Amino acid sequence: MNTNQVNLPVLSIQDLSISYGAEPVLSNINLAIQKADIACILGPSGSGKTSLLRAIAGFIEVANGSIDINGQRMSDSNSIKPPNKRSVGVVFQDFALFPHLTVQQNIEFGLGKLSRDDKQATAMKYMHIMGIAALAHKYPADLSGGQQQRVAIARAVAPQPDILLMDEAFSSLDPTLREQVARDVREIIQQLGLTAILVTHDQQEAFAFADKIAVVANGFLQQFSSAYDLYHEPTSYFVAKFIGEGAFIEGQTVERTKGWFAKTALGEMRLSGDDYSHTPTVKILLRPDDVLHDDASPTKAVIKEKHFRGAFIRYELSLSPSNEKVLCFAPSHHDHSIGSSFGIRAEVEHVISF
Amino acid sequence: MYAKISLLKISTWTITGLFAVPLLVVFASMANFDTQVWSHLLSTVMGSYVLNSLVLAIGVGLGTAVIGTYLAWFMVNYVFYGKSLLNWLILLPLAMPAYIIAYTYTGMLDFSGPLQQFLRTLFDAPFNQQMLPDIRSLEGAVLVMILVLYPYVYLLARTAFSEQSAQFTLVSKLAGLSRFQHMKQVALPLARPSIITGAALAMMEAMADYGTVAYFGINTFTTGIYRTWFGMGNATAASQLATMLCLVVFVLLWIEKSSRKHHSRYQSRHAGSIKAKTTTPLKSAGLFVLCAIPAVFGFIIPFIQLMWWSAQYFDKGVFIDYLPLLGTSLKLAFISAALIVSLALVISYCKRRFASRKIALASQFVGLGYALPGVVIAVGVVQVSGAVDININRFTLAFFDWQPGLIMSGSIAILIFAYAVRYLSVAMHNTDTGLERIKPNVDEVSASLGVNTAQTLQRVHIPLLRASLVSAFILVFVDVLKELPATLILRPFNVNTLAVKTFELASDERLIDAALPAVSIVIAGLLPVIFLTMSLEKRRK
Repeated sequence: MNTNQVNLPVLSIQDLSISYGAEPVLSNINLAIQKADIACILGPSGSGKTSLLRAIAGFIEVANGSIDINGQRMSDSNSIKPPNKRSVGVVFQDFALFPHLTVQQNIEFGLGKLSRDDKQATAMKYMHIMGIAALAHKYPADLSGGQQQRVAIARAVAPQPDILLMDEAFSSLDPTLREQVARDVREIIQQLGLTAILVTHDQQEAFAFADKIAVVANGFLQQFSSAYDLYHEPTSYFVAKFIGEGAFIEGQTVERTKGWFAKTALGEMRLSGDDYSHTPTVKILLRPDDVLHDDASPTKAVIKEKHFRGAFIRYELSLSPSNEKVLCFAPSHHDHSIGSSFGIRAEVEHVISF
Repeated sequence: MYAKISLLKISTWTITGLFAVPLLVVFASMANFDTQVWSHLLSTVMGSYVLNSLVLAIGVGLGTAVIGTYLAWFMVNYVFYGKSLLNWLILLPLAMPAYIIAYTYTGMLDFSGPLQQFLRTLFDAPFNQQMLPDIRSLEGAVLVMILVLYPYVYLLARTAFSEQSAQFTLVSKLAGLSRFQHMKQVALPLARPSIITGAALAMMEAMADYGTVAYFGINTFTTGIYRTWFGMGNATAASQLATMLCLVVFVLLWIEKSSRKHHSRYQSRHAGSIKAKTTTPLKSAGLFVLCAIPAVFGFIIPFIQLMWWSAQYFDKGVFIDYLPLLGTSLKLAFISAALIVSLALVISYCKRRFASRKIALASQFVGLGYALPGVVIAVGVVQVSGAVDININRFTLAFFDWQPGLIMSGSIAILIFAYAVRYLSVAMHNTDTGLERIKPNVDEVSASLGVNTAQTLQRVHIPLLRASLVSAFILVFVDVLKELPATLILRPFNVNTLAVKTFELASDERLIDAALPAVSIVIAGLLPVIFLTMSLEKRRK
């Protein structure tokens, strides 16, 4: 990276709001993506994540705020640059390959200004990179889903956009292939030094593909950080619930000499904040790997459900007397039947509470 | 397991076998060439048959492709005033048989017609001056057929355009293409198979037409078949001409089939609907006029003219004739439709039950009847019934020394048989798709509850199929009501239908008297168009 240059983000979104008619879809989004970042917008369906992508591509107008690409204003409440003037490439959910054009013709489609030979050479180059050169003269209908996706990516990157946008680009693939393909595509994008944004509802896909993940839900950007931080340092109740598995138990806050603690059904836990004098109760996030099987523990929990997962068993437990639900991964030789109970203990390094 | 031999299978084989006979008889005629007749035909009229039929088909194909495509493009891609009215209007010409619109325009544009007289007064021209080109020409025939056949292309092209993924528009936008460039490079090529299919159907109709070309006095294959048979009295040569016409139709069928074959390639998997573009008031008005023109000339003007003639001029004599005429036509259409739909149901049900390739192929062959011109079917049916009658008479003469005369030939039964050969596939199309919508496990549930095949059909399928059966009935009913050439050839003496009477009166230049039977056919023809429009509206919502 060139350190002399001002670290201007490729994509900068400020106070962005999008609405359909009177109905707000997204409010107050702030997001900056640096050059060669591979990012992901993750959210449940209906969260507005696809609207965000469409606004970045220039397919829809924004109600408020602004979108800049390489420091140039693309969209704000008064103006919008057309999609072909924004230097973005888009890979659509169903790839949207033109069925009447060959693979090569599809890739050449967006290379309008080039000469015939240059078009062909560029298409060839990207077909080689994507490993689809042998398919140049085939039609999309003759390709597998994975091959179609490579063509779609080649078509999107051939005009050398500043940003590659991918709308649920892996979700139409076979689930067993999905993660592998996501990793392969990630590698190619890195080789090309592209800045890419993937929109998806699938966490595993997001983890496999992106360096940084923006979680969008209920019309807001909930958190923008690495997968590790989303799991271990969720900043909102929604993200804590949405990412990974887990359960919440209630705790009463008490101040001790060493700081604030929460009294829970699984004992006292050290809270990470400095002052809880105005929050008498908190919800504490327990991941299944935070709850350990321990026959010696005085705390017993009743088994409500169990799922055999091979190396371990995923138990859904009910604590008494509060009836709170927690999850526990126990090594699979600890086989207990539903309705019976065993001893558990919580081992939480870093307590997440809301 | 089902029994290997079942009543259902036997009846299906009997029906398909019986229906195949007239088609096979026509084709078999090729085995027996009469050089004298053919050298006469070749040296006289054959050239004009081929040339006129080709010009007619190609002209109609091109014209319907252009009109149907531009209508579909505007209706899918733009929002404009009066669009919901046009949804109805554009399809109305489907209700207008070509021979009726042909004679209506003849009446309006004729030398002594109102328009030419008006033009003569306007330009102060002498009374014997021809002010308009003659509609009774090959060009005129092409024009009137385009006006009533363009909906075939429109319907298919409209579906093709609206099924194109909205994402294609976005890809074009990203590449910086204008709307027009997108149409040229993406939308039209994608819709091409559908447009070709529609144009091929329109061309088949044009080739099969008898009423228009006979009325305009144009030599084509269909009029040629009629004249070779009744003028030269040569049934074999007529059959051979018919076979040649069939070959052309098969080429068109093949074009239609092969362009459908790649249909899956042209379909988008994930069809987000295309957003229609709003327009300024001026553009909106322009689009409305442009989209209304074909329907105005293809339906509104001739329909108003027919109504006007019917209301103003029909005399009592015609009206007294009219009621029995109407009765005969309705009875004939009703009986035929009921029979044809029942037969179609049996075959479709058999196909579903046994999933046999042989039965599917046989029903496909019988389905060819719809592609073939009515004249050809009439030629086949007459020869079959004649041969049967001759053999019955020989048999009774030999064994009982008695001849019953003609039993089959010239009977209502043989006319209905011809209708069935021609329209079975129309009904079968409805019963097939209707049955496809019923899940196969319905049959299994019924069988596991101890209900037999016939009872299952009666208690399960028929109630579920009611909508399909009704639409099949209406389509066949109206088709039979409109049918002209086969009825003209096969009807028993003293049996007249609305279509035949219209044609006869028009041929006698009694255009005004022909208006009432003609308008009756058009009004009946509106029924399926209304059904079609309503079901399309429902699908769009």
